[in-house]
Order: sequence, then structure tokens, then C-alpha cells
Amino acid sequence: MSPVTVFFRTLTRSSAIFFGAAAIFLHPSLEWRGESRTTVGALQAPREAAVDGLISALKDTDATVRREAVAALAELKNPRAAGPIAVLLTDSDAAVRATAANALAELDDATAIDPLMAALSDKSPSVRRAVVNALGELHATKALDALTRALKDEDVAVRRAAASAIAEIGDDDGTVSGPHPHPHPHPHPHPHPNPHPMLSGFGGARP
Amino acid sequence: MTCAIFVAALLATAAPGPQRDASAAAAGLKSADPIARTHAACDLRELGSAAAGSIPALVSLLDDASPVDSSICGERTWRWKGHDATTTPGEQAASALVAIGTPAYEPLTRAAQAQTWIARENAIWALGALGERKAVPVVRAALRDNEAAVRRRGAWALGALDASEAVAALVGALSDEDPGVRRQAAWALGAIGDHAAVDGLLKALTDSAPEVREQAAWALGAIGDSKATSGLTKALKDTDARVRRQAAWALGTIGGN
Repeated sequence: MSPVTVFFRTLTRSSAIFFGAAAIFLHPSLEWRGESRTTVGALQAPREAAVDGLISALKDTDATVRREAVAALAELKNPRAAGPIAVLLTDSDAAVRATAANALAELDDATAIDPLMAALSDKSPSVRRAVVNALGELHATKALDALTRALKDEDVAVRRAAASAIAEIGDDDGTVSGPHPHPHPHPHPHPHPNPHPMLSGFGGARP
Repeated sequence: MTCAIFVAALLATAAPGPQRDASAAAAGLKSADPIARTHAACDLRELGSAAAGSIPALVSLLDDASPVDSSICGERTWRWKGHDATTTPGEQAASALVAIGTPAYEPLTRAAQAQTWIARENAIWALGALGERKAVPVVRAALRDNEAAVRRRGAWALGALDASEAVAALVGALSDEDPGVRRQAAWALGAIGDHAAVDGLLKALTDSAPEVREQAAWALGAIGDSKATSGLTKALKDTDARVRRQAAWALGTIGGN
């Protein structure tokens, strides 16, 4: 057999294997393939729509709706939410601002650092504390000077949070030594751990 | 000597036998004064199973709806509704029967068929609070009661009993004519947490009463089925802020799973 003949026979046989394999994998009777594709798509589309809906709800006229929407977006951990949530750091409602700071820490997006630093001068101590915590969790090295100033905050909770945040950031690049002055076991105080318990107890409960 | 007598007298007053307490309170159940009747029921509740002898008297007090100030039993009063300042001898009798426990079960199932709806309402509540799972058929039948108050209590009790076998009946109660029943059914379905309730609760998200839509959104979040995501996303545009808030919460809970 000439080398040319061997070449062509090998080519046609291996192509036959290739086409056979392709036919098996692409055959419509193999439902698992098509199904797994649609299931992922079917789960993904409503979830993305939910994120869109929640981002729109960040502009709700009712502050409690905005707060729940922020918290929900933090749970969904969708990176698209970080920008719209950062806008709420200047919301008129202090609870919304604090929830936004917590959520930004949760989303772990470095673009949130600048708006968070601007929020360090918030008039509400609970918001300042949430912002300081968030900067610590985001390991915002550029915020170290501002956090050092926060050590002199008029509010003791803010001062403690600042010390923790500085230690947390310092641990990263080894500039600060020594133990955490305040090793917070609960570093991310989510403002509403229980979702509307009054609804779950509604009606007949008599205790 | 006088000292010993004094100590003995002190012991006698400080530790009266539960038997004496029970008979004194049982007599109070028959007083003409509703405040005295309520007091007696509260005292019997404190005695728990030691008050078992008073079961018949307590059961016959279940239809006693005289409104009395809920503070008369002091801190011990169980409140019927979160912000309601009144209670009744019947309500306090029901909670005394719950405190007695299992011996009160059979009498309560009979009281659930009583002529007066107030007795049925109190008995159904007590069966839910008692926590005997075998009460489910009796309680489920209360969902078809003529009185909305009894149906509401029935829906609550099924949730309290975690009655997954009653999910279909509770989904049916989501179409009750009374919004209070529909809301309580939605609560119960969320408390039970069965995925079979999701379709019914999605329909309840478009209920005419906002408190029903709110409770349905809560229940869908409590169940945590991602099938509810689209319906809840639509509820973010509800006209009522409480519904929007609850829908946002539910989406976060489902998505965070």
C-alpha cells in the first residue's frame, strides 16, 4: 500500500469515528443534554430578572422596601448590584445607609471603597460604624488614614470598629503587629437577622 | 416555743397544698363575676396538670366571651392578639386546658363540635397549642366551619401542628371568602414549608387583600422554592409597600439558599 493510500484510509476511518461520536452526542433523543441546557437557562433567567427587580426597588418610595431590597441583593451576591447599592450610602434613611454599607462589604467589590470613604463622615454613628466595618472587610489599605482619624470618633462603637478594621487591614500586609484589639467574632452585624417575625407569629399565638 | 409556732404558721401559709389551691380556683370558675372567673382560670393554668380535676368546669367555660381587661392575670396573661388589651374567661380557660396537657385532649376534641362558635374557636386554638398530632383531622374540619373566626383558628392550629397532611386543605383555604382566613392559611403553609403549596401561594400573591399578598410573599420565602422567583419579582411592583418589602426579603432568602 502506498503511503498516500494509508493516509486517506486513516483519514476516512478517523472521520467516521468523529462523525459517529458527534451524531451520538448531538442526537435529539439524548434528552439529558438538551434538558440540562434548558434547566440552567430556566433557573438563570428569573434570577437575573429578580436582580433587576430588586435594583429597581432600591428607588422605592418606602424606606423599609429599599432596606429589604439592599439586604436581598447582598444575599444574591450579584456583582451588578454594587454600583446601585453604593448610591444608597447617601439615602435619607439611616437604616438604609447602614444596610447599604453592610451589603457592600458582603459583595466584596473594591469599587465600593471610594463611596464608603465618603460616607465616613455620616451624621449617624450606626452608619459610620457599618462603613468602618465594611472598609475593614474590604481590606481598604487606602482608607487607613481615614480609619486612623475614626479612632477619635465621638462614638465609642465607631472607635472600636475602627481599631478592628485597622487591625484587619494591617494583618494583610503585615504593617500592624500584635493581637486584634477587638477580635469581633461577629464582624458583619446584619441589621435584620430575623425576617419580620411578627408575620410568622401572626394571629393565634398567645404567649 | 412561740418562735416554733410562728415558724410553723409561716410554713403553713407559704406552702399551701396544690389540692387546696385547685379547689379554691375551681369554685371561682362558677362565680357570677367575669373577672373572678378569669382569675380562677389563670390560677388553674399555673397549677398545670394538678388542675386536671377541673377539666369539665374549664370546658364549660370555653364559650364564656365576657370581655375583661387582659392585665387582670398580671404578666401571666396569654394575649390573644398582639395588641389586644382584652381577654375572656373562655380564652383563659382554653390556655388552662393546654397547661393541663394530654388529659384535656379528648374533652377538647368534643368541645370543637360545640354549638356556640366561641367555644369551637377556643377549643380549636387549644388543640393547636396542645401539639397532639392526632388532632389534625378535627382541626382540618374546622376549615369548613360556618364562622370565619373558627376557620382562622383552624388554619393557625394546622400550622402550629406542622400538619403537612393538611397542605391541600390549607391551599383550598387560600380561596376562603374571609381575608383573615386566607392570610392565616398562607402563614400556616409557610410554617409547614411544604413545596406543594407553592402554586397556591403564587396565586395568593395577586389576592385582593394586601395583608394576604404580604403573608403569601413571606410564606414563599419561608418555603424557599426558586419556582417562586418570577412571581415574587412581579410583587416588587405591588401597590402596597408591605408586600414589596416582604417580596424583596423573600427573593433574598430564596436566592441565598
